[in-house]
Amino acid sequence: MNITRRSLIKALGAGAGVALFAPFLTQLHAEMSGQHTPRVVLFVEGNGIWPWLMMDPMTRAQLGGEQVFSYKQYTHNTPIELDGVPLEQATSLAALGVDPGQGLRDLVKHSAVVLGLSSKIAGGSHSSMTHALSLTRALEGPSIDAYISTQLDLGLPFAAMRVGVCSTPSKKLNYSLCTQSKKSIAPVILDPSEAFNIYFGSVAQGAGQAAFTKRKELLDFSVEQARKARDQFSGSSTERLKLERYFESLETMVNRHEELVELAKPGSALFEASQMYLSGEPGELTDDLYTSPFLFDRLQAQADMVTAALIGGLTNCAVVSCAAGEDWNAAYPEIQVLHGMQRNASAHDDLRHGAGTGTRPELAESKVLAEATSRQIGVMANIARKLADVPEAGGTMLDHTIFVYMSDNGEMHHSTASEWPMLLVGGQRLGFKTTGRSVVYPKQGSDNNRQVSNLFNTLGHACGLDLDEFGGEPPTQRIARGPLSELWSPV
Amino acid sequence: MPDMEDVQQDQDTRADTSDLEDMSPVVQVDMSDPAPERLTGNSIPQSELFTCTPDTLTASRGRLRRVERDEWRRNAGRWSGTAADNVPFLASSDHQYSSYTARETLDEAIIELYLGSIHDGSSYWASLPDGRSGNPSAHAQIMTTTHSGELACFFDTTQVPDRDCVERYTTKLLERGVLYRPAHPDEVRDLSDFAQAQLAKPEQSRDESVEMIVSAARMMPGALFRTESGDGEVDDAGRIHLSDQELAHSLVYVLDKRAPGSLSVHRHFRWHEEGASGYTADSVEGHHAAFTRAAEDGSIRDPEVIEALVRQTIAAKIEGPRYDLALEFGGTRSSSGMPKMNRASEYKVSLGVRDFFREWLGYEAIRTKPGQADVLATSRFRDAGNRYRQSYVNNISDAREDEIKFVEQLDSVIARIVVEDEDVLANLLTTSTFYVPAWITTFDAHRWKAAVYEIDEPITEDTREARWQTVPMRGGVLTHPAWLAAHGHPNENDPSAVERGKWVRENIFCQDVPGLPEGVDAMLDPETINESARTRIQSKTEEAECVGCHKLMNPLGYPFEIYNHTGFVREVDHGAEPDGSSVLLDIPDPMLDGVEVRDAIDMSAKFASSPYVKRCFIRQTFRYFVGRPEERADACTLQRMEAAYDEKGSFIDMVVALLTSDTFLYRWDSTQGEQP
Repeated sequence: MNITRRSLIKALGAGAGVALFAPFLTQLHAEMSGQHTPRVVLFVEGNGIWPWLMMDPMTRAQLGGEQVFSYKQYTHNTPIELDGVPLEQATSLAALGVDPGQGLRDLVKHSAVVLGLSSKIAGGSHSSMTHALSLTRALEGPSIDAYISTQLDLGLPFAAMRVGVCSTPSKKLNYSLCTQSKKSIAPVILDPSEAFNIYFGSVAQGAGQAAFTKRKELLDFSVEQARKARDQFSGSSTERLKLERYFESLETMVNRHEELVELAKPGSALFEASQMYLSGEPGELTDDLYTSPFLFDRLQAQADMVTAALIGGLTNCAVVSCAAGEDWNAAYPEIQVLHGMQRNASAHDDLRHGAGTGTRPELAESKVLAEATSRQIGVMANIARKLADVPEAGGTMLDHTIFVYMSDNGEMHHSTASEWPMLLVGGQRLGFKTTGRSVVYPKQGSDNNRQVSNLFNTLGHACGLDLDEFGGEPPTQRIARGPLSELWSPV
Repeated sequence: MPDMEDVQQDQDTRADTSDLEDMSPVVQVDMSDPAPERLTGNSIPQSELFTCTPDTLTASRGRLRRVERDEWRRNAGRWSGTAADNVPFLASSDHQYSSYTARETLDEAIIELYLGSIHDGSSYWASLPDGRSGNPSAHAQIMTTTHSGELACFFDTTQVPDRDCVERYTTKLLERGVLYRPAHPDEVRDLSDFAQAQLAKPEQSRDESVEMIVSAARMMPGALFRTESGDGEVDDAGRIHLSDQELAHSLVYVLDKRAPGSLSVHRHFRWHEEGASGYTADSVEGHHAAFTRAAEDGSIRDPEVIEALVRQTIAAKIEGPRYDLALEFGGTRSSSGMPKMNRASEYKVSLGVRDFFREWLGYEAIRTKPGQADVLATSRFRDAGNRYRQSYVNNISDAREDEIKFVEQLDSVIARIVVEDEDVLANLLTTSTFYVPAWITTFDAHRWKAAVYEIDEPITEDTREARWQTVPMRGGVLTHPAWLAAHGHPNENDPSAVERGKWVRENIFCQDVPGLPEGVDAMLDPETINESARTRIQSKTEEAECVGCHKLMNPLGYPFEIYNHTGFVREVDHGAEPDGSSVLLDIPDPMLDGVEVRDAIDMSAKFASSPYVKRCFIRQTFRYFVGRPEERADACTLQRMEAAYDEKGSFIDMVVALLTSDTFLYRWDSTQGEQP
């Protein structure tokens, strides 16, 4: 029987209902033995990540010791590959480790740190905006999430999910991180309530249901108007096509809406995933994560929705913006106060200026920024753990999902885009060598330096795509084609 | 079966319906596929385009135009930098000009994005303005249309408005906020049905209902597409005149990139600046109401009326704030945008004219291209340090500074020439009167922004007069730093000359350069990295396999080598005097072919007197204002434009000739099959 995960979800969702979700998922994913669909999750932090935050002691020693902070001090000419490194001992990677007290699964053996990748095409300064994920300038192409999700075309309700946070709770959208295609922005939804309405409105009961219903009303009105206009148009066939396309697109969206309603029936995977992983609905709880003034609360709400969307079958691709792109100037008052800084005293820009180039970890500003990175990685790690609990095709969902934690801006505030430190988690059954390793490429300027484009090529290959030259690097700037063999091999 | 008019088009032109080469049934044509190459009319020999057979009747094909992003934003009365900027209605990249219409529609991704911005400004329609203070800032738009109080019943939240009231509201919304034309009864009925259903929801506030009603109206096809099909009787040649309303729309959109009657927010600024006396007729009637009135009384069909309307719209000299730019500056440190409005030059051209020059010359690319390295390299400022570098960079994009940027600086140069309107092309190609940045407030941290113009001392006088400077070593818009940098490469000895020469071939001479053959290693040799760009290009491209195409580009690009990649004048070029000399080869104008030029200033001056270059300029104008590449059948119109231009070199006369031509006014009747 040629069963797909989606058809199974739909079949079960439309059936008699499943009382307990976890057994349901176990059964669901176990039945798909031999089948899997790759998933990609990108966490993007704004305004640079200091490479040393991701250096474990063993790697740092190999690079020259505690005074090594970034690519500037790398002296090697061939990639350094280290296995069995204590990643959890890196300043911002503690979240990967075992926490018996909380029963957290060890993710170190599912992770790899990548240092030394450059990406001059993306630029630097405060944020490279859409350049970071598209590796082009001037909106010249899709970001990697859009490229992969479009190419895979899995027929899921959402090809990709893009959510995030910034310092301003009222801000709804970020238009400067992802691109759908040339000249076409793919917005990131910053308002968790809005994200809930779009992705989980179908399973909502309260205001989310109302917003979901409103959207349907708007689409129903529009599709009927487009149909009339198409039918009444008396001009040439060429021009009629424009109305035809508008009508067909609206019709597709109406159908997807109805599909979501179908997928959301009680007992379905989507319904159960939403019940299990979401913190209620917006406005439902007193301590409402969706509308919290604190950035990390809202980030948690967004992360919960990513978890539920991946497990519930809404999408196989997600981007989470942690104050990236135009939102780079985030402040973290809830962390600053812990390190003796006056609450609300500093925006991210001031923090970075206060911390300088990051070579003074003892400064309060450095500690705040390091902790912000740590917390965000912790949020990502917890999604990974939840996927690791779900069996799938002889492994777990985590084995078929690659998580990437990166910055939109390279190695620091006012970056030169010379080094883009990254953390990879999961994806071992996609071919990723994420077994507790660190890989450090020679610094920018070396013939053996590699670029973010190579990592994105690697994501493509892991998803079964023949992707060797992602982005717009001209031949003079592209150092090498293809994926990174140090991090991935074909399955 | 497809309409024969579509089959008829001349394949040589690669005209804007070339996606229909295979005329299979309509639904099988995939409009999402990008066109294989840029659509221009360059492939037609220029002489054939200006050979008019007397008594030939001309027209254009009927079409639907999707509204463009900035048009949508302006119509909604929204500023640059607001969510309306994210309305995803951008022209396809294979269109030379944003005014081209082929394949422009809405697909699923575009609609999804549109839904994210569709509410922007809907609150303008949610209540009446504060009548006590008269402050229009809160509800600037609705005040414009409801000053008579005719919609008071709709905003009475103590009761649900009756059908008559709802229809008055939806009619007003459609006609003054969405369609900008009389609404069809079916449109009013459908939107009113939707509105009543929304208003009847007890759980929904009036503001929430209005947001839904406005959003629904903005999703209606009439809000997204406008027709240019013609209306009335078909003449003996099978042509049909644009309807009065279509003509008003076509004229205002092409001239000023907004709808006639679109709501004016001028008074938002004027209220702050001038108080209640700042109200104008525009405040109530909307922009370009004269076109609307001419459409309503039918006088718009009179070519003399069109001419008068165009002339009063297209260009003017403005003393005082540039309210016409009120919506164009976003992200300024001052929320009102006033500083930039005050610092823009006194020469105004309508936004459509401004955009024509931006798109033809391609200088707006400076805002989005990759950052260029070592911007001072080879100039006399090369050792001046970071402050000069940063001053240059802040001429491009630092929104925190209130001084206008390179793009607006060149806009100003061009606008002055258009407003003066004599020998426009020659002046464009020779002027050395540039509008340069001043250094005024403490916000403007970088005082050497004028250094790129070879002006050492900052201009500290905050007047327009002080910003107009005669600059050395420049002659024409092709020597303006904005143009040079927009067509420059990342490093000073990269092949900028090739790119610039290619641009000249394609846009000054309207000729195509063959694409790069597969397998050709079109890169300069790394071993020559320490040599001048000219030396590097010569050593690489004079090989036999390259020279065939490069002889079309390099000679037209070398003259620009007196400037570096960012537009600074070179002082020394890798140990030698900068060399801009060249011999122009394979030039279609016999007067220029084989001619020696000293540098870009000399070359541009020679272009200025070339009849061939003038005709290419006319072709470019035609493309933008008609919204498609020219075809042989347009020869009489092109000739008409030339005759108008030749009188005194007037750009405005030339545009008037085009906008009163049959090509602009008539459409082939699509029901009649094959076009003549």
